[in-house]
Formats: sequence, C-alpha cells, structure tokens
Amino acid sequence: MRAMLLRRAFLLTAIIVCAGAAYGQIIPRLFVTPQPPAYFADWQTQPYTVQLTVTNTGNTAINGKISTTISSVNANRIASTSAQNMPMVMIPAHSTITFGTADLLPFNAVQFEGPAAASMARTGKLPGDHYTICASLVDANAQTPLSDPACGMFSVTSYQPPILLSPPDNAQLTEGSLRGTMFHWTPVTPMPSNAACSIRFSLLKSRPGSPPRVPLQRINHS
Amino acid sequence: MASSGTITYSPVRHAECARRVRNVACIVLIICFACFVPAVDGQSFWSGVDLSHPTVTGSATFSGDFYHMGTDGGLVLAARQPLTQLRLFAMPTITAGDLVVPISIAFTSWQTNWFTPYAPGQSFSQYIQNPMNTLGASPHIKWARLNLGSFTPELSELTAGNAQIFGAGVDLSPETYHAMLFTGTMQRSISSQLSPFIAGAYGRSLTGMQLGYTFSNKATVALNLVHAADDTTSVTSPPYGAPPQEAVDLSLSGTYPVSEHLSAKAEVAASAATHNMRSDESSTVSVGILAPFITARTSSRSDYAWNVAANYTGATWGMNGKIRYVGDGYVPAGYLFTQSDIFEVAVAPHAQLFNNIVYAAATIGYRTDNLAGTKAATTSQILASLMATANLSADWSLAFNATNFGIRNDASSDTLKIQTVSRTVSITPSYRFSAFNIRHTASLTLGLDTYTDDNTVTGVRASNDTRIILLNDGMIFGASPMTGSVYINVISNNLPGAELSTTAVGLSAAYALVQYKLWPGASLAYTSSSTGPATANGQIIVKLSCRAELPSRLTLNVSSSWNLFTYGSALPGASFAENIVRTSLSRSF
Repeated sequence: MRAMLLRRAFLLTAIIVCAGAAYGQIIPRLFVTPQPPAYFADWQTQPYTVQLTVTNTGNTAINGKISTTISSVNANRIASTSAQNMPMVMIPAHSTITFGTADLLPFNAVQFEGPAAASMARTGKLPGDHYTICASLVDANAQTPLSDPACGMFSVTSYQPPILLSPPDNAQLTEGSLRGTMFHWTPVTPMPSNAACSIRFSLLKSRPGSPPRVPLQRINHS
Repeated sequence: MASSGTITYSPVRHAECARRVRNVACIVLIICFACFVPAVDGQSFWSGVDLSHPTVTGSATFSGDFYHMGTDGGLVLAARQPLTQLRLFAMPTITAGDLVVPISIAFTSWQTNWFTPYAPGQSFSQYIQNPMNTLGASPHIKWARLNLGSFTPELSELTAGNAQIFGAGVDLSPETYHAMLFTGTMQRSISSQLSPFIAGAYGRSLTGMQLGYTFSNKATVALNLVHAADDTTSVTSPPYGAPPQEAVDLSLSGTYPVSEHLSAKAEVAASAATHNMRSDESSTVSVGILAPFITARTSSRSDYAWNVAANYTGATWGMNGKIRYVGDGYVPAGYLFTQSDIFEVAVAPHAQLFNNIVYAAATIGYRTDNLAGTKAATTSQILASLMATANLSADWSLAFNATNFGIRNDASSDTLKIQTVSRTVSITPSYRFSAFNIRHTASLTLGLDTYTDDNTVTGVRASNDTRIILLNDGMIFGASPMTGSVYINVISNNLPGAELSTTAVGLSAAYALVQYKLWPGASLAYTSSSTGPATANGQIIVKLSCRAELPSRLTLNVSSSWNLFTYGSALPGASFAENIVRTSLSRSF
C-alpha cells in the first residue's frame, strides 16, 4: 500500500516537473491581421489571418494541442476551441513550427458562445467589435497549459450602408416635381479609413406603369 | 497551349459541357412538362383549341443617338455617353385563335452594363444574356403559358421578383391550381483579366418553382422555392473580390380577402446561403429544412424573413399597413438590390374630405436594423410624410407637402454617432386664367428643405438648408395649335463654408402643322450656378425637335440639343459643349 502511494507520488511529481519543464521551453508568438474578414469562414481560406509560431527550446519534443479563445473588448469570451476536436501537434526539440488559421481555429472545432453564436448561425459574420485572440499549447489529456498564452488584438468593422432619407423609397417623382427635389442619404458609418467608398447617383426616367427596374436595364453605361 | 493534333482533357471544358447538357435537359424537361401536363387534364385542352386566323400586332422602334463633346480651356472631361448608340425595340404579338405569343425584343449596338461587369469582346451568348438586351417570347393558350428567352419570374416578395433571367419556364393555372417552374441564367459569366482590368463574374443560374391553390373565397396560398448558384466552371479565370455563392429560399405566401374592402396578405420564408462555395463542407453548420436543396459549408448560414400587409379601401378613405422583417443573413435569391437586416412598420392612410375637395395621404413608419447583432450600433429610423391637395375653386388649387425623416443610432462614440433629421415643407398654389386669348396654368412653389446632422464630425460639413422658389406657366394659345411654357427656378443651399445658388429660366414652344401630323418644337434654358464667392458657372441648353406622323403608321422623331457649359472663376476659361442628336422611327402594326 505504501509502495503504491510512493509510486503515485513519484509519478505525479514527474508529470509536474515535466510539465514545468515544457512550460518553460515553449515560446509562442501570435500574429493577427488587424482587420480580418467579417465572414469567419473566410478565415479558413486565408491562412495568414492568424498565425502562431511555437519555439521549443528544450531537448525533448513536446506533444500537445493548441487552445484558442476569442474575447470581446469587455472580456466576454465569444469563441473557443474544443480540445477533443483539435488535432495533436508535435513541436520537435530545438525547432520552431508555424501554424496557420485553419490549425488554430479549425471550423469544426470552434464553439461560439452567447450572442455571437446566434449571429454566426444567421449571418456567418462576427459582430462588429474589438477582440482579443489568445492561443496556447496545452497538454492533450490533462488540459494543463504547456505554454503562456500568446495574444493579439483585432477589429471587425461592420459598416452601416447609406440609408435613403428623402425622398422616401419607392416615392414617385414626376418630371415637374424634380426641380428643387433634394436627395439625402446618411453617410457610411464608420467612415472607411481607405476612402474607397464612392457613391454613383443616376437619375433615370421610367414610363408610367413600368417597373423601376426597366430603365435600369436600358441605361447607357459602359 | 495544346499543340496541333493533340487532344487534351480539360476539366473546365468538361464541366462546362456538363453544365450546358444539364441546362438543355432542364429546358427540354420544361417544354415537355408544358406539353404533357395539359394532356393530363383530359382531352379537352388541345381538342378545343382554336389556332386559326393568325395575326401580328404590336410596335417596333429603331433609334439612333449620336453624341459629340468638345472641351476648351485645358479642360479634361470624359464623354458622358457612347458616341453612337443604336437600339431596336420591338414588341410584336402573334395571335392565332386561342394562341397568343407576346414577343419582346430589345437590342443595343453598344455594350451597356449596369448589373454585370464589362465583357471585353463579348460572345453572342454573353450579349444575349446581358439583362440590357432582351429576346423573349411567352406563348400562352388558355391557362398554360411558356416563357422562353428573357423574362422576369415573379414569385413572391421574399423569393424572386425583379431579376431577369435568360432561360425557360412554364406557368400553369388550371382551375384552382397554379404551378410555375423556371430555370435560366441570372448573371452572365465573364472571366477576369488584369490588363485592361476586368473584375469578372461567375455565371449564376436561377431556378425556381411555385405551387399554389386558390380557394373558393379567392384566398390563395402558394409554396415558393428558389435556388440561385454561381457556376465555378463558367469562367477560365475567377472574378476578383467575389467568391462563388449559392442561396436557396423556401417560402409560404398567401392572400386573404376579408371583405369586399379589406384584404390581407402574408409570407414567411427561410433562406440558406453559402458565402463561398469553395469553403469546406461542414457537418456542424445547420441549414435547417433547406438541407435537401443546398450543401452546408463552413460559410453557410440560414436566416428567415416574414411580412404581413393589409389594405382597406373605403368609399372616401382607405389605409394600408405593412410589417416587414428581413433577417441580416436572409438572401432573397431572385431579387436584385434588396436590403436585408431590416424591421419595418408602416401605416399609410388616405382620405377624400369635404365632398372630395381635399385629398390627403400620409405615411408613418418606423425602421430598425442590427437584427442579428452584427453591427456595433443599432440604427432606428422614423418616417412621416403628409401630402394634401385642395381644389378650392374651378381656377384655384393648392398642394401641400411635408415630410420628416429622422434616423439615429445608439452609438456612444461621437464619431460613430448618427443622428440626422431631414425635413421638407412645400406649398404650391396654382391658378388657371385667360389673358390675350391665351389659356394659362400658373403655379408657384415655395419650399424649404432642412437637413440636420448632429454628428460631431460630419455635422459640421453636412447640415444645410435649401430654399426653393419655382414659378411655372403653361400656355395654350387660343384656337391655334400652339402650346408653350415658361419657368423660373431659384434655389439656394447654404452648405457649410459656401452658399450654393442656382437660378434657371427657360421657355419652350411647340406648334402643330399639317393637321396635327407635324409637331416642330423648340426650347431654350439658361442656368447660372455659383458656389461661395466664385463667379457663377453658366449653362445654355437649346433643343430643337420635330415629331412627324408618316404614312403606313410610321412615326419619326428627330431632336438635336446643344449644351454649352462655361465655368466661372473656379475654372477660368474652361468650358465644354455637347451635342446630342436623337432619331427614332416607330411603326405600329
């Protein structure tokens, strides 16, 4: 009985020591695109959206799994990876491995929480906000951390398109009433930083009783 | 490049061939369906059909626009329309007893694009699939209609209604049943290229069906299914910026006549859409009841929409109201330019008052967005408008118009804040009188338009007021076949930093000759516009026109207009001149 307890104590000590050794010898670095696509599925096809480099400075290879979490600016966790669906990774001794977006956030392993879950199901988009993403290496079985988390920040911008204020949508404007008619839209919000937003205004004549799309189909525009 | 005499396997060509075979098979199926299903109804459909006395009626117009532009004073300005544009419009209808075949033809010589990118060196297939060109026929006998070529399937408000396709369809309405089936190309395929830059577009197909039933009280119910999908094999080089997409909508729509004066309609719809058809298939993404019609991928999502509307029409007053909810992820597959992420409530009463002397119509509405919480701020909008006209006497009438459109969001940040109000008020008295044997209809419009933007950043340069004075007089010169008009417009707009003012005067006249078969006309307009302290820009527009009714039901229209625009001190010495000659020859038959 005593021998058994001693063996268990030795085994536990060995695990802690080994984990501690691995914790110290794993150095993660995270690189995040400051403004990634709002459509989360597009992250999967763009490997450079999030990249994690893991350096093993030790003399032994480390096996584990990557754990990734995304939190909003008010520290509410909105997404995390499920350990059981994450693949095993191995970091050889004295080497650096780079993992891409699909390795860090495999679509089928990411679980969204709270309002973001409903938003993702209905639109496929992350809500517009500022986020923090953190990734670390964890033990595959015990889920104990094998490294410090490496974190980065990114923002998802959800633009509010211009909304027609006046004349109202589907209002009928006669040729005579056009003189003095003012067209008002709200601006694009927030203001695009690259000033790539332009608005093209066309005024087309519609025959009485003809659907509004018809003059659009006849317009001369090359 | 394959060498001569070598046969190489091309996956793209193979897929393209398969796609064409599939489309042809689908069209043949529709035609067979159209021929076969009526026969199921019994022998009566074809046996009683009369195909005698074929006639052709309709009209055709051939027109040509010729444009020239010249600049002076070092001004560089691109021509604003094609130098030559020839058009052919024809709408003949062939009638043979019970068979009616309306045909629609619209061709233009110069490639025109609005919905789709420019196609360099376009093929005939690309030309005919451009929504700007139409070639379609819709033969129908009794309750069976066949749509071939260009047509716009209209199913319901949430599924398909304004996207023109080039394909085939069948529309059957035997007794109380209704069935519709269609397929075609909604968007022509254009391969992308770098030089010259062509963004390109995937070929997009639109397929749909409707099954409906009409009850004895005229209430209707219909099940609608629409599917749109990009064909990834339709281009040799993928378009820039837009991944191939797919969407499917399933809706249940119905109308219900509550009484002779009151009717209601409603629709509820589910949508599943794939943002990128190249993304991996996924077992964790659910597209709900639409799973049989679309492959769930990591970029797929599903959302819903619904609307309810009611309309009451009484003897002296009426009202219609509607409530519309369109989820942020809802994609109406058969609509162009629709706004999703909107919840809207609107009520529009109208009434004739004081023995029909006054007619008034109003609209009150509320809109909001951010239904799925994807935006940083939620925007709400209030719409209110009132329009009234009063026939005060045989000669006097008065029109009044007022609108108030306000929009705001709940953003706390000053820079993201939206809080704008647009108000318009105008009053237009009109007076009819005679003087010097000329019958006048004179009107004066006084209008004030205010736009207030309370955003700290944009409000400084966006808030402005516009004052409008319009004076117009339409004239009929006694017994002579001459008409004319004169107008003066004064518009001033106090944009922050610079006052924009525009003054325009114009007159026009037309005279009928040869027993009203020849209508020469002329118009002259001068506009002066200035911004801030800069001296005014000047614009003179002269137009001469003539309409002649020729023998054999031919009508000739010829017009020529000159536009001379001279810049003020903003671009001293700069000017441009445009001349547009428009001709058209129409024939009704």
